[in-house]
Amino acid sequence: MLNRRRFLQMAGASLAAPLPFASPSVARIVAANDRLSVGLIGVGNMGSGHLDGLLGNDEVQVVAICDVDAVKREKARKSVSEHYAEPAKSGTYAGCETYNEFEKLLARTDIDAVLIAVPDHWHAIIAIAACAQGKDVYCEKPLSLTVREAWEMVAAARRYRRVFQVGSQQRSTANFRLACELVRNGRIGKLVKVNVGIGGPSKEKYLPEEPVREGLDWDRWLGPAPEQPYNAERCSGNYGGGWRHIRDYSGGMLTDWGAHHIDIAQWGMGMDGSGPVEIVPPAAPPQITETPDPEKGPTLTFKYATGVELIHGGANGVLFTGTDGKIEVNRGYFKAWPEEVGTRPICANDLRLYASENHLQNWIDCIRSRRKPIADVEIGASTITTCHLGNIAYRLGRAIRWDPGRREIVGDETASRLLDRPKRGIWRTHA
Amino acid sequence: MRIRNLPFAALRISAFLLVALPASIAQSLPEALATRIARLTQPVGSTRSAISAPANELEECIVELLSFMGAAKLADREPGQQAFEQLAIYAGAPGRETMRTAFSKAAVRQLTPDKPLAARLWILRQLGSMGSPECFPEITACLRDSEPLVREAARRAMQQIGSPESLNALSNLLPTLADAADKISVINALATFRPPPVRTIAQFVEDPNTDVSVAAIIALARCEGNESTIPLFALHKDPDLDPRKKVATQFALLRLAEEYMDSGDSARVDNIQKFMMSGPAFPSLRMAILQSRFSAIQAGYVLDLFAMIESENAEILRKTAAQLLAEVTADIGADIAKRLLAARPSARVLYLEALAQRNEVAQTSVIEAQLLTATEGPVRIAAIRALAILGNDQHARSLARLAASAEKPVQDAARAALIGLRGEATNAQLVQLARTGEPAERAECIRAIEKRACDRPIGELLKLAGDPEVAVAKAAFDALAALGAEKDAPALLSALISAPDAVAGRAESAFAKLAMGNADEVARAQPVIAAIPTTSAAAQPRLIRVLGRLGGASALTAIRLAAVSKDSQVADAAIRSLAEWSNAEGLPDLKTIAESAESQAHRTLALRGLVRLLRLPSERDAHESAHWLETALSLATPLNERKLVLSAVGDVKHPKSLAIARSLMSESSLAPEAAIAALGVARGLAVEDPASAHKVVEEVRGNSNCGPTAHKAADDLAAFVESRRGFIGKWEYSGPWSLKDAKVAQIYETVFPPEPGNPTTAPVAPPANTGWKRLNAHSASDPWQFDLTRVSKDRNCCIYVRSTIVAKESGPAILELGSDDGIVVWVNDKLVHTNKSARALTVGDDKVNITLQTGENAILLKIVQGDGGWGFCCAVKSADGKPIQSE
Repeated sequence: MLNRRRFLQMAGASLAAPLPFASPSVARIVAANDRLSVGLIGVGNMGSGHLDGLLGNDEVQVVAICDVDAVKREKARKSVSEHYAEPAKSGTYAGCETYNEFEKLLARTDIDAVLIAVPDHWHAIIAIAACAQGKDVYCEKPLSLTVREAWEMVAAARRYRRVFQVGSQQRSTANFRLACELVRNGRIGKLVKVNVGIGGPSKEKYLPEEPVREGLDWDRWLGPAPEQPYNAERCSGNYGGGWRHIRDYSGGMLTDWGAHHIDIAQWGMGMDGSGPVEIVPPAAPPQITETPDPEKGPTLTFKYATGVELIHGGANGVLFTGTDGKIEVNRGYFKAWPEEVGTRPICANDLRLYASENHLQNWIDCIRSRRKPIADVEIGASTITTCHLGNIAYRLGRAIRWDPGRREIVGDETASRLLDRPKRGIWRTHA
Repeated sequence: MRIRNLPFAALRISAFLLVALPASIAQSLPEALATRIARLTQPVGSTRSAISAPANELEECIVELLSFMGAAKLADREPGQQAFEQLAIYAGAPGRETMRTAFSKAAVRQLTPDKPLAARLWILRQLGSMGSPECFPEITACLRDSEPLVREAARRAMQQIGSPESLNALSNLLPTLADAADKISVINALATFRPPPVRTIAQFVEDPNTDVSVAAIIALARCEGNESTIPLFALHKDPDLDPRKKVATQFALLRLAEEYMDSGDSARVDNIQKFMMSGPAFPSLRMAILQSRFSAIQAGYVLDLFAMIESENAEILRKTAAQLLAEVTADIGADIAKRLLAARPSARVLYLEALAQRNEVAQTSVIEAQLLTATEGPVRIAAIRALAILGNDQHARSLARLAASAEKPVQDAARAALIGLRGEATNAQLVQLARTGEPAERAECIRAIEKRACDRPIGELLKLAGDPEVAVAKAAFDALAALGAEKDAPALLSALISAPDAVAGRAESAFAKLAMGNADEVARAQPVIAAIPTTSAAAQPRLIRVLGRLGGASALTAIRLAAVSKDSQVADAAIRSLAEWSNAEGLPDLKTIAESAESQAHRTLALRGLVRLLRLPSERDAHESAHWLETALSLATPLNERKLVLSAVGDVKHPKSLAIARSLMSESSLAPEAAIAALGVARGLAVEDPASAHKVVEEVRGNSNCGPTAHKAADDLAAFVESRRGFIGKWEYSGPWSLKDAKVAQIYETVFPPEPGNPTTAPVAPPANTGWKRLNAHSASDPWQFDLTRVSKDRNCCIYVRSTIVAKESGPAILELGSDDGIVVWVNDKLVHTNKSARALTVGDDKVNITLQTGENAILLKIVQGDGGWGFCCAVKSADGKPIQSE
């Protein structure tokens, strides 16, 4: 008999298997009654972008919207209704319901899948509940607010056998995949270090109380996070500030962008499902908007059992350095030293990584095929675990040792307690 | 260094004293306190070890911090709480148990109700992460505090500490609670302990409040033993159970089975799963039960999986079963193959996928047999995909045959499989197969060689490029283009010259691609030019067309010569090359040809080319472009040619092009196109000449020949111009300014010469424009937005722009700003706004209150560039939102 850990390990092993094809393509012309019914939870900055993507995809129908902000909710409902005006007239679309409470959306048995684009502190609760309700899940990155939450999400996805895509969509971008394939095929020799150009951790913010904005359910917005008075900045989705900068709701840029660049770093290192063994911080953490410069002094360093070091800062995106060359990759940018490293194509006999050209479509394809998506929840969990460990080391100002197999911090009780955060009030992640 | 005004007589202190405290915190605390904390938190190994810090000294620090931590003013609260956290972190480090105990004891003494609420909450939060057992009595007392926030914080602290003492405290608390939400929060907390207190939790399974009951049922899932199993079984059997409790019970049983899996109690697992399978399952749990059963007995469950795959159940369940089959670790490949032979088509597809995922190489012959015998498309495709993963060079021939002859979906799968087929010998086999056989199959093999990119059999491909079979030769030239290098260009030039006409196009493309690998325009064209005299007249047009693709001065000279050739085919190729030229250098030649060529076809070709080159991006000024438009129009006679020219008029933002378009609006057959062109030009000129924009709008609206599209465009332009009232359209700029190796943050902080204040003494990277120049980088779509990437492509730098706002009277006003990336603003030399965002330009992103003086007001913007887009826009409005005049 397998135990849970072994089962997860077995499932994880298949993640590294080379796949010569992208997830099997399905016919793109889908009959109305064969379309997936999707609910969208969270229609702020990211969610409204996803709404456009879903509405533009003929294989799905958006049938429900949930947000704790009535204004955003209504705006999204209007977009959906306008988009499906014709099918609604012809009777092939039954309409879009809106909800303040995600539980009500998840209780609908006619919804196949949900896309979750809420602030980080809500991800685990909603995603786990969605899995338990039999929904396939696309969850925005970063996957979780804590290490424990991430692995509870993995367990839920496996327990309920759900297709669970994490929104680290750089995996579905050709130049990132190419960089990782080149590194994994030894084109820059033996990998020595990887630099990631991302900002620093979040921190406590001390913001004065303001009158709650009309239409916003502030208690629901806070959900599992500690009670705090309303302030517009606290719940702003502005990428340059807002909740992403506040420790109660986010790990800052180390998780927000780490979920992209550290994710690619671990893909290139072949560390999906695993992680570092030691995390060594500098004397003081960088500001959230500041990408540290390793040339000016030591920066946060993740040490892996392979001997490879992942270094915070020092790259435009992700910089892989090997014994025979370097590859730097970012959005719309790819550079290799020597140049021929990047121009010699990956050939049929080389190791090929999971190929996806479109992150959302890959999720939809996998919902139909029941295969694992490119940024499967276990990959997202191992990526965000590394990011969270970086934040813990920054916060404590001391090196921590990590056992990636047991997923435990070794020999530091205080650090271990930071692997999770108790939730406020009635909220729980276990389901 | 900035010092906050604190009510606690904060004094400036020396930052070097502070080892553990960040400077920003230390500077906001009284010097003596900050120094004391710094001393207490010195790193291990320094002269004074904090391990031996006297308890009374710690307590004195905490007491002193208390008034900060609980301060009403947030600016005071922040340094207090942050300093306390630093102390807690330091005390909680491994090896500092004595200090941790002392700290915990001292901290909990400040939890009494007379202390400020904010301080109590913060202390509880920190104790959650580092509190030691000595602090339990006081935290336990907080669990019953009159203040709900304190009770909640204490519960969270207990949960986070996660010790037997905290488990006891929460267990004792639960039965005393009356409020349902409080009960749920404690039950949830208890469920996180390992193991949870099963008896305590079980008492609440029958709670009259359903939410409490559900929380207790789910929490029981984490408790092994009869005390949890029996109540859950009883609930599951209860036909009248509340539906929510029923679902929760099924969740709990699933989880409970996992607990028993972990402890190796297979009998219990089997018992629970069979029990669950005996009754109706909540629909969303059907796959979960399948998964759970599989996790428990795996190989023993294979027959059930076979049955599920071959059943009429929903497709999603059958696919899940197939995925589970792929994950079975036992040797079941032969069993799957056996089932495959007898199964119906939809199950065969799933079995084939499972064989491939399991890497069952030994079953390759079964898969091949399916490929040969199956008639159903999905089965054949599944077999091909399986072969792609499991097959080798021996399967190349059959795949090539399918790629050449099968219906489309099967063909696509075969092509992909041929490309993905692994094995060191596969490429050699493909080369071998490309030499002889059916032409279509040979071509497929060559395409696969190209896409596989495993090696570069250039000599072989050159031979195949000379093959009499057109399909083979075309595929070979394509492969040469993909796999060849610049050094292969001479051999390819010979192949191009000798190739039959049917493949000449592919040969030209292939040669041009390889030759373009040489960055030297003259050198890459030279072999082609040299070959022209010795090449047959029939093949010379190919070389002329190739020169057109290669570009460069020498190629242009050769093409000009060819354009006047007596050989009509050579001349034709040359004129087409000129029409497709990559920059505006061909304009005069095309004008001449359009004016004087004998052939009407060549005149038309030249005119089209002229318009095309005119529309290419160019540094040519608008006046000259307008002149070329006039010339083109004079050469255009048929209506369609005049419309073609009009299509370019809208691109040229110049009064002359506006005049051309407006004049043609009077011709009814050209009015719609002329109106669109006029509106396009007017939009671009609206900053300089708003009156003309209004005039054009009115002309279009009054001209019924312009049609509805143009009328709508006129309305859009009118609305757009109105929306931009108050925007500043005329600016001067200076820059880009930067420092050597500077990061963006430094660019904000540095005072460059255009900025008020004392300029930096650091070496400044020489800017392109140290003085002030008129800024003409209007965005193509909105002339009130400015695209600074048209001024400079630099990164980590800034450009200053300045203008003048004229106010009729002094008073408050609002600046509406958009910038990419950040922006700093001065009005009359006074700093009024800073936004250090890395953002895209959005009109009106920032709204800034300013005060204007009567008459002229100087406005200066610093637009900072990190990377990517770079631009800005700025409007000035009165306090009631009306536009204010700017220069």
